Amino acid sequence: MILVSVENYLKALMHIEFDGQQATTSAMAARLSVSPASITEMTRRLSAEGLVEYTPYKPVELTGQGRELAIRVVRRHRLWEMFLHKVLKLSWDQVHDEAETLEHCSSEKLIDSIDAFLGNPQFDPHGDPIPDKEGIFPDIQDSKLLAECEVGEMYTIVRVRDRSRDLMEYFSDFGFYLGKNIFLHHKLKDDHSMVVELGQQKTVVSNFIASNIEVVRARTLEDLKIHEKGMVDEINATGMLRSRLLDLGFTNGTEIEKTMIAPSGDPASYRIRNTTIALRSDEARKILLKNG
Amino acid sequence: MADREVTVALAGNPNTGKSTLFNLFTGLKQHTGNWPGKTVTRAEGSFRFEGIKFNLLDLPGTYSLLSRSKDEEIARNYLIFNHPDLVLVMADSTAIERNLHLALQILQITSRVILVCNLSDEARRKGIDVRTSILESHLGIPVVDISASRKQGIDRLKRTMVRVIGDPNPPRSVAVDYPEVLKQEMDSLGNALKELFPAQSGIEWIVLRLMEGDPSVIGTIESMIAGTDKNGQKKSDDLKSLRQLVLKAQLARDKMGFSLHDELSVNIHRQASAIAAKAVFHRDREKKTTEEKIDRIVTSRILGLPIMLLLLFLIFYITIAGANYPSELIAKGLFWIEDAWAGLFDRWQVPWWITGFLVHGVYKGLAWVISVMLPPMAIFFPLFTFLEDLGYLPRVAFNLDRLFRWSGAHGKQALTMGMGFGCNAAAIISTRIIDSPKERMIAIVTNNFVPCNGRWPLLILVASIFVGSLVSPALATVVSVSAVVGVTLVGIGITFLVNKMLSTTLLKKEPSSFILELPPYRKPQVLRILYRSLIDRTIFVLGRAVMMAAPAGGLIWILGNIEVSDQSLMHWAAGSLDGFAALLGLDGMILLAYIIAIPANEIVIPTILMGYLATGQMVDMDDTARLGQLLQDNGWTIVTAVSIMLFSVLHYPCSTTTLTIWKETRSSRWTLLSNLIPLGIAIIVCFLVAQTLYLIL
Ligand SMILES: Nc1nc2c(ncn2[C@@H]2O[C@H](COP(=O)(O)OP(=O)(O)OP(=O)(O)O)[C@@H](O)[C@H]2O)c(=O)[nH]1
Ligand SMILES: [Mg+2]
Repeated sequence: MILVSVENYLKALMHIEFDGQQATTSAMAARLSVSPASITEMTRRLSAEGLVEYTPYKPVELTGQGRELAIRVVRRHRLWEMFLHKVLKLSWDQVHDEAETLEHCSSEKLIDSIDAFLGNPQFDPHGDPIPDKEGIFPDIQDSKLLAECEVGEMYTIVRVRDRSRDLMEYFSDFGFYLGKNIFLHHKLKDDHSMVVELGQQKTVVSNFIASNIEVVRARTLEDLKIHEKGMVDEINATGMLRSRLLDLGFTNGTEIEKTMIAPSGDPASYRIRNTTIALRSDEARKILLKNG
Repeated sequence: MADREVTVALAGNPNTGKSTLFNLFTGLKQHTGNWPGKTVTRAEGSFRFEGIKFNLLDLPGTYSLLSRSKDEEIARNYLIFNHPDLVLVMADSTAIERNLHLALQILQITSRVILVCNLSDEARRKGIDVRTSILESHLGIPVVDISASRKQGIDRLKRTMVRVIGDPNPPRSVAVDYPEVLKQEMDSLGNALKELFPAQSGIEWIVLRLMEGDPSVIGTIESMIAGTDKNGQKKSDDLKSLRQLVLKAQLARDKMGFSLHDELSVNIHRQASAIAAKAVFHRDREKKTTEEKIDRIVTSRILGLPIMLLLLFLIFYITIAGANYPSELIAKGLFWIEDAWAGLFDRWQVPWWITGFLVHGVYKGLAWVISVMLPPMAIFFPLFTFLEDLGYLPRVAFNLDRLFRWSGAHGKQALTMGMGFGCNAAAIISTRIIDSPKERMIAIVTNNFVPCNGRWPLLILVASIFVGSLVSPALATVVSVSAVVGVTLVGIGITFLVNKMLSTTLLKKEPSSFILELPPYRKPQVLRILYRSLIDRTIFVLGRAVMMAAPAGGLIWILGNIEVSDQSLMHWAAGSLDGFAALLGLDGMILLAYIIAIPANEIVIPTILMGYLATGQMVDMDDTARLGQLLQDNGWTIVTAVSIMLFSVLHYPCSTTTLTIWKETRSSRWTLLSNLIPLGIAIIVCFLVAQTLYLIL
């Protein structure tokens, strides 16, 4: 019988609760890929230690103490993923497996140093929230699945759901990553797959994949509040408009600040490269901002 | 020693002071103004310095040579194809980074360039320190900082120009980092092109334009081949190889897998920022200036529009209140001369018809024009120029863009309308700043609805005599001003309606984009404004009026004194128009005046007056109160006053403007429509208003 570690058990239990499912023995077994018997065994043991609450024929629940432990494991896992991704440049399909091991053998002190070194990141490379030292999760943006999005809009990828190797590799190959802006070009009627634009590149995305990508509406110049600054990511326009904007210096990485809004709410003016340029919101919407 | 002649082009971003420097050098009066796109055609002038004759060329402002924009075409093609001996690239010292983007591009075409960092006074005030020597070492060309409006650094600039011109070896300027694949293509295509045009410099840049498929560049080089003195066979061979080259260039671009414009502008911007980062230092970067505070107020939700109206009101108020007294003084003087002159002729026993024609016809016409028009213009123009120089006009465009968009037009139309307040013909030319052809056409057709300086005097005069007199003297000025503002707003309102009408019917189109740079406020130079608006505009308008009024005065005197079956020709003409005119609240004489005044709106009022005087008894006209009397004697009422004001704002463009419209559009259809639409509207509006007023009163 393959035994499951205390930490992995607690972590899985938390994920299941997080996803709003019921932590039945079979659900736990499926998630951890072990037999139901070993789950039952572990449940009994942890219940005795006061980490979970268990009544026969009812789903298991974490106690306060149990949750605290679980959150700490999650924090270690996600910070390691971030470290491997950001510092060691492992691609996001590789980091999960490594972190699975590392999370069980790192002292709190080490983890806190990694956290500080990375500048207290709020999300891991897959877009999952990283709890802080006190175990508090950052606020999560209201995201929706790409599969449920509207055609003709620009979105930003904030999280991927399925972490299977296959999918993660696909994402890497086709240039999907967190913070990447993605334009929903159109949906194919029959099989619910969709055509998206990533940068200047068009790609077809199946419904399965689109159901595993969480997005928010992309931030554009239009979303800036007065005196708020942003950084230009790309221009989602073609032809004369694109060239005029490029000529004026709206290029990738340029800092920009909204300075005025006309009495009727449109146009607005922006400070860029020490000049002030007025743009209608129709145009401002086409200039995407970098995230974070 | 014979003068050496050299050609110097002034290029640079819009609103960097090119025309200001041009004027300073040449003593000419190219229009300047604090908004981008003031100069739309190139102007030429010359000056001498140290035995060299500099032929100077003031180009319209450009942001870059990379795009296909219409408004930048003149400058772009000039820089690529004409080979000036020297290019002065004007840069705004407060935004060196953005300005370097263009400078670097120009440096790829020619290295005989001086970078002129203008507006250095403004930079200093804003705590921006531009180290010209660092710029020089990075760019490889001389860099001079000046302040064109304060005449600082001009001598140094002139000496630098002489030095560069005299230097047999052009400087080695900095190169732009092209991506490797592009560089290879540019080399091979460039060599092929060089065989066709051995004398052409800046070949690389032409190759880039060919890759972009720039039609105007392709057209130009095709005509360059056609223009050579080679024989027919060789020409057609050359043309063939050129066409192949163009095709190859575009294939090469498609093969590269990145957008050329994107790649180049990103690269050049990066290079520009890198240089600027080393050469430009900002002290107290985050200081919120008073300028920003003012901007916040003039564009604020609550105050933005009221401030605009208030300013309009204020300008007219100052004009009307201020013009009153001088007008009367001038009238008194001039009419005293008329009397004295007539008396003198009497004594010399000059035949009555000579006295009549010269003194009571031509001279009287002139006297009227001058006394009625000079004072308001001398006040109005400087005030308006003041706002223009301050940089307020682009804020108006910014505030009103929403309305323009609603009406299917372009926000920059506000700028061209602003020009129209001065002169509609000039405004028609200035519509070139609008990229989209349809929106530009809309701006052209509707420009007539902003009253130009030829029409202000009539509006002001009629408003003060008829509308102002309806109320107590204390309120008279305010009420007459309101009438002028009111009728101006009617014109603006109709502009929006016609915009909407055109954009939903004949000129249907997708809304285009609105991108406008808002320049910083600049302290207007009061003396220069006074000089410029008095000499340039006032004297110009007055001169035109005088020139037109003198013959018109003569003509009217003749019409009034040649009798056919007991009635003067004038009576016949005016009489036959009376019936129709009455429907519009006008009379035959007024309509006749509008027909006579087609060449220049300025002479409507003098023509009417001369008409009345020629047909009626001679009234002694020594002040404006008597003027009112004369009009009333000829049947004018408040209805006539309202109708003529409306008609004046709406009717049709003067012949100069019509000619300009034709030149700019090359379309007889639209030239005709530009006249018929206003005329139709003028007739309808005047009819409705007059008939309503008749019913009420
Ligand atoms: N403070 C300051 N203002 C200047 C200076 N030079 C020009 N100006 C002002 O800047 C504004 C623009 O000047 P123009 O000469 O019309 O600029 P331009 O480059 O010809 O502009 P376009 O024709 O639109 O391309 C005007 O209001 C000038 O009075 C300067 O050295 N200092
Ligand atoms: Mg100019």
